[in-house]
Amino acid sequence: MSANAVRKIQDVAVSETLSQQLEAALTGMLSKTLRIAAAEIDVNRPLPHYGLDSIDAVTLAGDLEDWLNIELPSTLLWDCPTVAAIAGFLEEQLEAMPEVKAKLVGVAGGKKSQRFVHEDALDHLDRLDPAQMDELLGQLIP
Amino acid sequence: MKTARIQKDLAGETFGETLMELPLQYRASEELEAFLGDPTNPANVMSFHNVMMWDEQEAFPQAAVDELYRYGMNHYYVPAAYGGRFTSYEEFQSLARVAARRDLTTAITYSTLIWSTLIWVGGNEQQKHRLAKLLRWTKDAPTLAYSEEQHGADLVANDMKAVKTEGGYRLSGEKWPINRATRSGIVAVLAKTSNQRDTRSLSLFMLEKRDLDPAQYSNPPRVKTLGLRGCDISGIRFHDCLVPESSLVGAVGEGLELALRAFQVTRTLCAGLSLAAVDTALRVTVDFAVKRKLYGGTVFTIPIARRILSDAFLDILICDCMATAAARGLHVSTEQFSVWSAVVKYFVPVTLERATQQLSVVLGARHFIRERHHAGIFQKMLRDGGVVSLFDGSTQVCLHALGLQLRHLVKTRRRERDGDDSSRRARLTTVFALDETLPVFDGTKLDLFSRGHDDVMQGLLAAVTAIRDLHDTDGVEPALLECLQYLASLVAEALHDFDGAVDEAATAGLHPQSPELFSLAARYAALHAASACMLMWLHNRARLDAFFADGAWLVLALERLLGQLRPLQLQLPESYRQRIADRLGQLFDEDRLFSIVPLALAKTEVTADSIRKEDRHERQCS
Repeated sequence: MSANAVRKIQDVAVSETLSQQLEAALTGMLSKTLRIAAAEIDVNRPLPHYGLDSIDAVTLAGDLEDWLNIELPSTLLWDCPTVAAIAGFLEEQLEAMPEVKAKLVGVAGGKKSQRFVHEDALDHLDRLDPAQMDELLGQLIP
Repeated sequence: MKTARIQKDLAGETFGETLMELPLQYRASEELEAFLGDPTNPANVMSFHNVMMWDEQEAFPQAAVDELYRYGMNHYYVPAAYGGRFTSYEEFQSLARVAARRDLTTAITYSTLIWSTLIWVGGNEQQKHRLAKLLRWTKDAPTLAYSEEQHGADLVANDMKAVKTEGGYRLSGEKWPINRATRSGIVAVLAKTSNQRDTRSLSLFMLEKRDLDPAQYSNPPRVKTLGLRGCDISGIRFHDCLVPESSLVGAVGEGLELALRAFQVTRTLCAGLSLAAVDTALRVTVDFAVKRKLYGGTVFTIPIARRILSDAFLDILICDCMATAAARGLHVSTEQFSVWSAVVKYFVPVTLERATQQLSVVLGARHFIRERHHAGIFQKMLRDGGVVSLFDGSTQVCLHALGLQLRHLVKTRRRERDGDDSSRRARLTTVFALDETLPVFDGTKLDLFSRGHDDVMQGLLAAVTAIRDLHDTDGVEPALLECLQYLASLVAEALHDFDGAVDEAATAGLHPQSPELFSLAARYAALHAASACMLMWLHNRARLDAFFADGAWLVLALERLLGQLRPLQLQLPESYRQRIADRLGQLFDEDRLFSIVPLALAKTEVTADSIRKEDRHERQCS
């Protein structure tokens, strides 16, 4: 888990790329649907491990469609079963749609997703015990 | 030729009080009715007498299955483009209803031919031609082997493996309990083709048993069941069994997707089985109620008995509107069936199983007796009918699937409310106007997600408006029209309340498994039913008979559905209910299906023997 928290903290530290923004927003959506802390979601871990069943996954693809206002395959989350894979797919789609992309970077993605990440990362930090904190700092400051 | 005579008799069909042409797609069902003959006559193969005899012996109804083959029912499972007789799901469902009203055991056995849908939707040309040939010219029937003892409806958790090998795959594992597992010639199997446990780890195979080494598969014995006691409900076990490469349907990893898409068709058609079971349950109960003398009159004249009978008939009419629209909708609004199929598969079986349970009160002791009154068919329909809400995606599976889509359904309906809806209006006309020609079904359009679309619900407010705008001069009794307009406005309010409840649930962030989401889904289904009834009436007032056009049934249907949605205190004129009871009696007397399209059933063949038997029973029972 702590490696994931590191990643989250790094996410806000460096300037965000589109794919990072997408990952952060996706993590936020998943955390809401699955009722687990965003910090607990590893972007490279297959979603069924978090209790996302086949029909939930289809509905989430619908949420993504609504959010981005583009048509996506119903089985998107089946074929891209991790947050990173979905973000990668979406980024590719959005490259072909500059106006959707611009809107996303400008409004929907940036601030909101960044807030998710901040809050969740801080949340997570609050819950670390001293040993975990040491480990985390060790990874952050080489 | 029997067939030629039937065709002639059908010309210029009269039903109800008005002369009207039976919609063409129901002709085959009348023909099948005449072919199978009166089920109360023991001389007919699919008689209640025989059906009960097989049930008591837990015997597979081979003679009845053969009878359906003799009629050529198998050809209706093959699309016309592949040489079969299938043209519409509406016609198909009606035919299945005709068979199933005699015996659900036979109908559910025979209905495994519907798993050919997997090939029509996802197979290649070679597989389509091959299956068409098998279904049309042999008695090889498919079986659906998905469930496993340890995993039930959780398909992703399946253990059965298919390992790639030279020339094909090696299957190992067991499927159980499976209808027709032992007797079928063709097996549709879902098996893992990857070591992951996810939505892409399953692939579908359509096997012909003749291609397999008999030493490499076996069948666990039949299980004892509460209903469907003659069905071959057993299992199939593969022991590192070699299956040909050509048996893979679609691509590797597409199994679950294909399974879920085909379920959208079969779940919709399940409504026909429930409608058939309740038709017989109601028919034999009415038969008892009109003949049985109690307290100086017949049971039919006792107000509470008549109320239960007419309520069951109303439930049938409501479910008929919904199921008929859905069967037609498969051709028109195909992309939306993740919603429609879940609505129908939840609402129709549950409603009609409850109606049947209620009827048992009128039948009294006889409903508990496994012989005598129509050979005891009532309790068999009660037992067999109970399976429909269970298989093919249970009530809970359907409510869950629907519950997850509610947010999208509400959002899309709001977003599109004020837009141009001409294409949806056109689709609704094709779905509901029963004499409109349906486009050829295109299974490639089936989608796991409807993107918030459901034409029936999106047409609800327009239907309410159309009813509001009707005038006294439009052929509806003024007082009745007023009632109808009031009830329709209540439906619109109930929709508004429902949308609000979905918003609240979304704000509260309900968990996908939360029970509240299941009850919201049930409310959605009741509203969908109300809309289907209104749209069916609006589109067919001038097409169907005088009872249908009159609209008293619609007033009572809306009252009944609203009762599921909000507290309702209404005093409707008793005469409306009387019209329902009269119609029920009329359809019973004339041997017609309890339906919005009351097609002609096989005539009751009164034999001297059956009269004597009836008399003797009455004397013994009274």
